[in-house]
Formats: sequence, C-alpha cells, structure tokens
Amino acid sequence: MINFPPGLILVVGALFLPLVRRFAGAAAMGWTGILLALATLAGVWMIPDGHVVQIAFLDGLTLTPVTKAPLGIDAFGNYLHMGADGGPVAPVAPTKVFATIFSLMAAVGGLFALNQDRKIELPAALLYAGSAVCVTFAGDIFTLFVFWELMAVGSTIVVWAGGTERANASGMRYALVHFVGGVIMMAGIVLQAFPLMDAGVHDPLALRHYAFGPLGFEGLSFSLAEPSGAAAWLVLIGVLINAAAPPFGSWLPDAYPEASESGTVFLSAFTTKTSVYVLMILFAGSDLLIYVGCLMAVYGIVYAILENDMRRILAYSICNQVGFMVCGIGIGTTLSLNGASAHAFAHIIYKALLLMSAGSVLFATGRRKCTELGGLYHTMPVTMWCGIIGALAISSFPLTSGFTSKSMITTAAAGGHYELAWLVLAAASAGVFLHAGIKFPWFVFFQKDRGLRPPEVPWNMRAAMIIFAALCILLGLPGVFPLLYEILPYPAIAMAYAPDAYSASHVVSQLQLLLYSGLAFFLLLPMLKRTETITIDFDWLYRRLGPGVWRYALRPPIAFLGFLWDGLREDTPGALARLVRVTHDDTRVPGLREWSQGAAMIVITAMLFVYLIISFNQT
Amino acid sequence: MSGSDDADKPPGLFSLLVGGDIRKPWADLEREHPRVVRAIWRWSIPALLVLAALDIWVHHHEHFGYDGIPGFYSFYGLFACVAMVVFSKKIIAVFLKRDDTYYDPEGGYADERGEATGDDGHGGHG
Repeated sequence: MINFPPGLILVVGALFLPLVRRFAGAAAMGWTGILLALATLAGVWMIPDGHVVQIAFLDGLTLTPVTKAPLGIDAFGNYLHMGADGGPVAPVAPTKVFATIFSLMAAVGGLFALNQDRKIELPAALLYAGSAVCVTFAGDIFTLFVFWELMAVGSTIVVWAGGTERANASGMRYALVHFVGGVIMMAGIVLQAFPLMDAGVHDPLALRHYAFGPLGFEGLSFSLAEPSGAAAWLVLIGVLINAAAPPFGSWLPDAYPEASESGTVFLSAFTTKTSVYVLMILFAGSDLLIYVGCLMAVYGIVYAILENDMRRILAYSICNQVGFMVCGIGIGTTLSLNGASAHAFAHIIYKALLLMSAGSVLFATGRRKCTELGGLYHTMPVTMWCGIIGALAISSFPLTSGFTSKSMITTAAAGGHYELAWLVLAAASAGVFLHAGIKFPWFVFFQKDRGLRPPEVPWNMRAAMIIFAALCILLGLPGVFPLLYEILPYPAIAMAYAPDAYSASHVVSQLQLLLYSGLAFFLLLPMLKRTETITIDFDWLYRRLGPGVWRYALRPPIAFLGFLWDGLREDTPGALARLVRVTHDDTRVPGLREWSQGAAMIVITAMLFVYLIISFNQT
Repeated sequence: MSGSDDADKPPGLFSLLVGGDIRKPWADLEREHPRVVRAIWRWSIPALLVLAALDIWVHHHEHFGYDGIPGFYSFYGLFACVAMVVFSKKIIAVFLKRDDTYYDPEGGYADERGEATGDDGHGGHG
C-alpha cells in the first residue's frame, strides 16, 4: 500500500538525478528518469479507489495528500447537478486518467530527451511532471496549491534550459505570469478558507469547500459582494491563467516554443492539462466556461493560421484543443466531463507527438520557420509519418484517438442544446484540420523543396515518436478505445456511449467537416502563404505597453523628484550626473544600484500613502 | 536567402479552376511524383461529392433543425474554414501582424543554435 502521493517518486527522485549524472553519466541519468516515471505510473495504478491518506497540519487542520474518493458535496452543500443524462451526481475527480497520462508522458518524454544532454532540463521536467501527478491526488486546496506552484518552478527551469537569450527572457516572463496567477489564486483560497475556519468547519481546507461548481456562474451575473463569490472569481482567474485562456493565455505561445527540442514536448503536457483537471473538480458546470472554451478554440485557430514558426503554430493549437476541454467542463454533464477527461488524455499524446516531430525537424535542420522548411519527406520518413499520425489524431480523424474522445464533448453540446457551443466546436473541429492537421505537415515536409536532406534523428527520438503514434492509433480503434473509457470519471456513462462512438452518423459528419476543410486549405493555399511575421497577442501589454508607460510616463517624474531630493541632501553635480545616466541610457535596463536613494524614497512614500488611503477607507 | 515563397506564383482560385499552368504551391511535389499528385486531384473532387451525398442514406440526429440537411457538415466545414482564414488573414493580420523581429530587433531568430540558414549549423547567409 502506498501512503504517499505517487508523484513524489518523481519529485524527490528528480532532485537526485544531478547526482546520478555526476557519478554515472548523462545516459544513466536519462534512464533513471524514465524508470522513475514508470515507477510513478505503477504507483498511480496501485492506489485502490476510495483510498484516502490524511495528515495533521498546523493547529487542528488536516491535509489530504492522497485521495481517490469522490469529492462528495460541493461548497454549498449540494450535489452538483449534472444535467439530463445523469441526474444529480457527486463530483468525481478524474484522478486516474490524468495521473496515468502525466506519468506516461514523463517516461516517453524522457526517452525522447535521452540523447540531448542538457543537465538541468530532465530533472526540472520530472519535478514538473511529478508535481502535476501530485496535484491530481490532492484532496485539499493547500496540497493542491503547493504542487501547483512547484509546477511553475519546474516548468520555468525547463524553458530556461532552452539556453538562448530568447529562452531566458521568455522564461522570466513565464515565471512572472505564473507567480502572479499563483498569488491571485492564493488570495481566492484565503478568502474562502478563513470564513470557513471562523465558522468552525472541521476541515476548512478540504477540496469540496472550493468546488464552486455551477452555482453563481450562470452567465456573468456573479456577485462579488459575498466573500465566496470573490473567492470563486479569484480562484477561477488563477486557474484560467494556467489554462492559457485569453486574455491571460499569451504566455504559452511566448514561452513554449523557446524551450529546447525536448523541453517543448514536456511543457506541452502538464500545465494546461492540470488546469483542466482543477477546473473540472472546482468549476464543472459553470456556463461561463462554455464561452471561455469557445473563445479559446477560435482564438487558437485564428492565431495559428497567421503563424510561421512551426512550434508556435502547435502552441496556439494547444489553446484551441484546451478550449474543447474547457467547453466540455462548462457543459458539465457526465458525458461532457468524460469527454473532457478523455480528450485531455488523447491530446497529451498527440500534441507531444506533434511537438516531437517538430522538435526532430529542428534537431535535424536547426530551422523552425515554415518559410525555411519544406520537402523533408525525402530523408525523414519516420518523423514525417509520426507527424502525420499526430496531425490526423489532433484533427479527430476516424480511427485515431481524437475521434473517440472529442465526439463525447460535441455530442454533449448537441444533446444539451447548446447551439452556439455546438456550432463553434464544429467549426473549430474543421479549423483544427486546417491549421494543424494539414498546415503543419504540408509546410514542413512537403510544399517547396528547399533542398534540405538532413539525416533521420537518433533511435531514441524515433522510438518515442513511434510509441506515441501507436497509441494515437490504438486509442482510436474500435475494441481498444473502451480501455480508456474504463478509467474515465464516470465509466458507466462512457461505456454506454462507446457503441455510439463509431455510428455512421458520427463518422460521416466528421469526415465531411474534415475533408471539406482540407478542400478549403488547398483552395486558399495562395492566401495562406507564409510570411516572416508574428501576430501581436496579449503579451504586448507587458512587453510593450508596460515598459513604455514606465519609460515615458513614470520614470521621468520619479527621476526628477529623486533628483530634487538628492539635491537637498548631497552635492548637486553628483545627482545631476546620475539623473543623466538613468534617463539617457536606453540600451540597458537600469539596475537597482543606478537609482538614487531619493527616487526609491519617493516610490516608497507614494506606496505607503496609497496604502494609508485604502486602509483608512475601510475602517 | 530570403526564404519566402515568392518563386511559387500562387495559382489563385480562378487559375486553379481553369487549369492555368502558373507555378503552384505543390509544384515541387508534382515534378517528383506527377502521377500521385494528378491522381489525388482527379479523385478527390468526386470523393468529396460522394461523401456529401452519403447524407442521403445516413441519418443524422437533428438537434437544431438544420443539422440534418444532407450535406450540412460539408458546407459548414468549407464555410467555417474559409470564414476563419479570411477573418485572420484579412482582419486580424491587418491590425496585429508585425515583423518576427518585432520584440527583439537585434537577435531575432538568427542568434540561436548557430545560423538558421546553414545546413551545417554555422554557415553564413547566402
């Protein structure tokens, strides 16, 4: 019996990996990492359903690091209403399906990275993966939050392991966005936890108190006046930042494509899908999420169409795919929650496969832009075929994993008569084929022959791709895909749906959407011509607007006031020289030392003043 | 090496339909595998029509009144894709498209892992 969260095997093991590398070499570290991931996978399956581990924490609180039991009732003492197909059902955490794919992903990702020794990347990636597994076993909000933040630490290091200047800068932005998100989420948790403690609830940290569920989220009419209302909004925003929902989502296409070939593969799997998991247990059935999901699905496509960098195309398509899952969570029936879980499982596999294929191309050619790639089918057949299989799976082609998972969400949308959601999801299903299904393989492996004849990538990269390509197909085969259905949160509902997955109507309607989308692609090819451009996203706010405001609106008065202050205290020529240096040196960001004491005093005084006004108003 | 597709003169919808022999995006592929490419073009259009016609026999459960019309999914797939491409290329791109060196004018893409243009990893610009 395992009495600790199985993800800890990876989290603790990752810390010792650098020692293994030091004494036994890089290959030994790689294999150890793979074994740790497989041990975690075994641990996930060894924990029986209903198993709960609790430990005492601080004064009279309990933490629940391991739970595989239903969450019971929600924050308002009600069973979540699950709609027509299931009636009222207690929310069930999809722990098994998420933990299984997270640990499997860590193992196969480790195999893909085996030949690329980047010292810190693998330990960081496994810390990240292990934390994600721990999140899925958390039964209280505190444990969940700790591992949630640990994921941010691990993933930031994975971005930095890219090793370029761009990766450094991008990783710093990534870390800042995630830590801001963490603070917002923590504020929401505190706002919910303290009233519960004051009310004498015996387990104020238990997850069920934070399962805000559909209540209060129909539409946008939620009241901020009540504490639990504000708490729900803050937690929701914190989770949506990690889910890469616009307008908070631009960190994803900013950071992921800057990591290394293998780093991007790891990154694609955990952060957004852990958010899907948390949304599912805390906010299932919130109508708002239907609209958020639709927005994500379309936003991902519109931006991916304009992209030139192959890994940025795939990064935007993560937003698109997570949009399907978020929409399924918003619909909130047992069928749609099954669909969101199954789609997350399938998505991690085919998205990792696509990014492995793109990573292999980058590894072999050193090129990442579609305008510099093409004709690679000549010498990279394994990479090409695996890329095509991943592309078919993400497009939900019949006989691939995407087909058997996504149709549950669209069926639930139609069955629940969510007309807008259904229309958007159908359009997005067609659009996936356009922007990822054909565009990625076409521009990278075909289109214009640029005379590139790189050799096929090393065996371990090919093996990792082949394993995931095989899974993409197996999970789409009739007779095999029910194996996945059995570990979904509501297996009985899933098995009842299984015979319907390959109905003639489903197959024909999906094929029509996809193949006519393909027709649109080739008709519009001239318009889809690649250009060497990027498209401005919301990260413009903190990459351009914020620094601009600082430089042109805030810095001059602060520098001037600081100059006055210093002039009163010390020699004027010295202060003047510093002012000139601070305001006229545009080539570098001024470090703290370059700022005068006076400027710092002005800023601190202003902050204390604002603080005083706020607290004065509240009393 | 500019890396743009200027050499492939786009055929445009019209010349595609009338069979003009302007250089097509798939010209390289067609030169190497002429029979495969021609066969795909020859068979894909009838295949698409047959697929749309299947709706006459396959019953789609109607949820919204229009989703059971034969050929609805074909039309909708084509329409949605055209709409999304036009929306992003003709509206979003007009306002939000920038050079890919917009955020870091000095380095851009060229500074990483050797030169992006050289096959051997450190070749110069041609």
